[in-house]
Amino acid sequence: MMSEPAKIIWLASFPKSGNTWFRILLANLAAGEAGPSDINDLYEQGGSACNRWEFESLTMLDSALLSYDEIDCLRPLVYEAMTAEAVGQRWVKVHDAYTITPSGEPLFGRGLSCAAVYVVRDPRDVAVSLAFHHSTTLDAAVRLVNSPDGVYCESRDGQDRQLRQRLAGWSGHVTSWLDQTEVPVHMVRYEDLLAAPARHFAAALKFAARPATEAEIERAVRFADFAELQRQENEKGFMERISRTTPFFRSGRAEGWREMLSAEQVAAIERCNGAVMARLGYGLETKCRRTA
Amino acid sequence: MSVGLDTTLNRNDELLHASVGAEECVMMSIEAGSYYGLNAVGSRIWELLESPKTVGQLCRQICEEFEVDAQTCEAAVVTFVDDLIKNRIVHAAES
Amino acid sequence: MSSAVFKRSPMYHYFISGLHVSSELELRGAIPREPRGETDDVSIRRGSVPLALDGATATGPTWDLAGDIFLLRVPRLIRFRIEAGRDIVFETEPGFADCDAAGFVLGTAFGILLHQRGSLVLHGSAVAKDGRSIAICGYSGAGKSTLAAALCGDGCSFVADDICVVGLDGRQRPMILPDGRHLKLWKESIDHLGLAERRGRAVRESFAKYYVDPPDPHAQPSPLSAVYVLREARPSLKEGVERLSLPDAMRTLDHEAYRPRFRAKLQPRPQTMAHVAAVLSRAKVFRLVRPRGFEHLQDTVAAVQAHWDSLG
Repeated sequence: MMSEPAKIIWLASFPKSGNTWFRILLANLAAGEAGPSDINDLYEQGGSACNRWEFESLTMLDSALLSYDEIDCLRPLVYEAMTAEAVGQRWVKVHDAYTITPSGEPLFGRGLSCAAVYVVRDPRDVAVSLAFHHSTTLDAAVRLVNSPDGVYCESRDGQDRQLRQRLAGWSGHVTSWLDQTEVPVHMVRYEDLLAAPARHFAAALKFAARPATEAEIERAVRFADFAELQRQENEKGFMERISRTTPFFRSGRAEGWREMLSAEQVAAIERCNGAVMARLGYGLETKCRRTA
Repeated sequence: MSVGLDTTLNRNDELLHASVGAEECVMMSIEAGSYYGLNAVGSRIWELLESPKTVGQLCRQICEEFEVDAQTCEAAVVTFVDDLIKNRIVHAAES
Repeated sequence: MSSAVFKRSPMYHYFISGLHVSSELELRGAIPREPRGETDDVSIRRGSVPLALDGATATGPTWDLAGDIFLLRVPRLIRFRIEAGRDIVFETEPGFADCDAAGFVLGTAFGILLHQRGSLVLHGSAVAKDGRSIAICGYSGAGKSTLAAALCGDGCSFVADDICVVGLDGRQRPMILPDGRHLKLWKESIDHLGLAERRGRAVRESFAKYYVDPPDPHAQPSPLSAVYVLREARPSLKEGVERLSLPDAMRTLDHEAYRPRFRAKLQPRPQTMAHVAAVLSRAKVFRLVRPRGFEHLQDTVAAVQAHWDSLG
């Protein structure tokens, strides 16, 4: 637990692990009685760590003239400026693994007033969710989950809206955040948040020294109920959705992978990620586990 | 709760404002990061509030300058002023 | 002593956003002009640039500001000292090629210089037809340059790309000043638009973004009819063109300024507000939501042309 509230909380997760839902919980906590907060107002909350507009605004530079590595070398300085500017406590979405830049310094941390809440989800469910969200095959999603070189937003011929994020594969991502020692980190399992949202949301808030009464937390949980989110998305759409065919708030449950992944796909995920899965309490299907 | 005709109004001097075209006006609160737009009548009311005035004085002036009967004018001005107060564009002075 | 030993650096001359520029560095992204007899408005020189400014009143991760001097650092590549809207001094790090420096000079450094001169600078592209112009704004990577290039292929002439200066003429009418530069397009856009023949060098060695010679550059300032802010259609954001209310238009133009945070530090708010209000007195601001993807580009071009025509 933090003695003094950190100015920036990195809300970090591998993609499709519950980051958005957590941010909706935070938004509803902030909205108080006035909620349920509009899911499309999320951008008014803390934003993300790879927002190109913010990077360019703080550095004054045209990011299209910089290589991905050069941008990464500048990001610690940018986050330092963001921390200095932050009014109150700012929770910032992060999908990057806890990466060391080519200059040899961590992207996040730089001895600043920050902490991390790390949201983790069963990589088998992550793979299914990735496939739906990006409208790709399950095999492609499994590859992203398994690949230590996995990235988001690394076009060669064009410019992505966001900065490049190194994902490092699910295991690499998880261990990079949980095993580093520069930034205090609190882990939340998506499955636990599903089963007992008030309890686990409260624990994360306590870690961040973000004051909230039991009543406020209960109310936020109620307003962020999955059915409510689906209703809102159905009514007016959701900004973060990119799939033409599948809603963003699709199923919101655990173990849906059992109905979607083939035995080979499950085995592939477990082969690459088994050790970390076991460490986090995810039961494995396949017997052949890779030792750490 | 609505303002009364006797309420004196003061501008919020922290707001920046600029005229747009002949009739409209746009305003900005740097502190709040908010922007407001005023139409012809609203801009004229803002202009008149260069010095403090009562709601009643505003109604009379607007009624004279725009083609509207006194009753409609009063109702519209009061609603408008309530909105201005809510958005902190003007303050009601203590009487 | 032999005069062959002492050689003057060649000087290059340009006319960018209404300013006569002389530069020791060849700016491949700008269109060369003949030198004129008088002193130029802006000079760009190589020189020694410190790592920080003494007495800085504001600092950022890559910059210092002290009065009318701005220092910009691009670590391991280049540094700039930009003074009083008039002088740019640059110093490159060993190994960083001059041809790559040009992109930083023309973009960031010049944008800051324009702010120092009190100009209203939008981050966007502009095209003209029938003596009037429109600006296209939006976040980096939204497709502003591609749309501008496509409109140029559909009868418009090219006015500006990336840095779009909106001046006010003697009658307070907003005018876009031609930027005297090339378009900057990613390879995929160049290929799709069939502009490979007009493709110049890369904005930076080994990057897939290139300078492209505009086919029909518009030489004169032209009155601004409208600003279109480009957004991508999403399930929650429907396609179409929507006029923004006055306060939203003002907020948008503030947001779409080139380096808005810097502008706010440098130019007094009332001044920028008056300038933007003058623009809004004559020009309308629209949000243009369209589906991303090259297959939709021609439809977007048609929609913009039709909408622009309807403005009268």
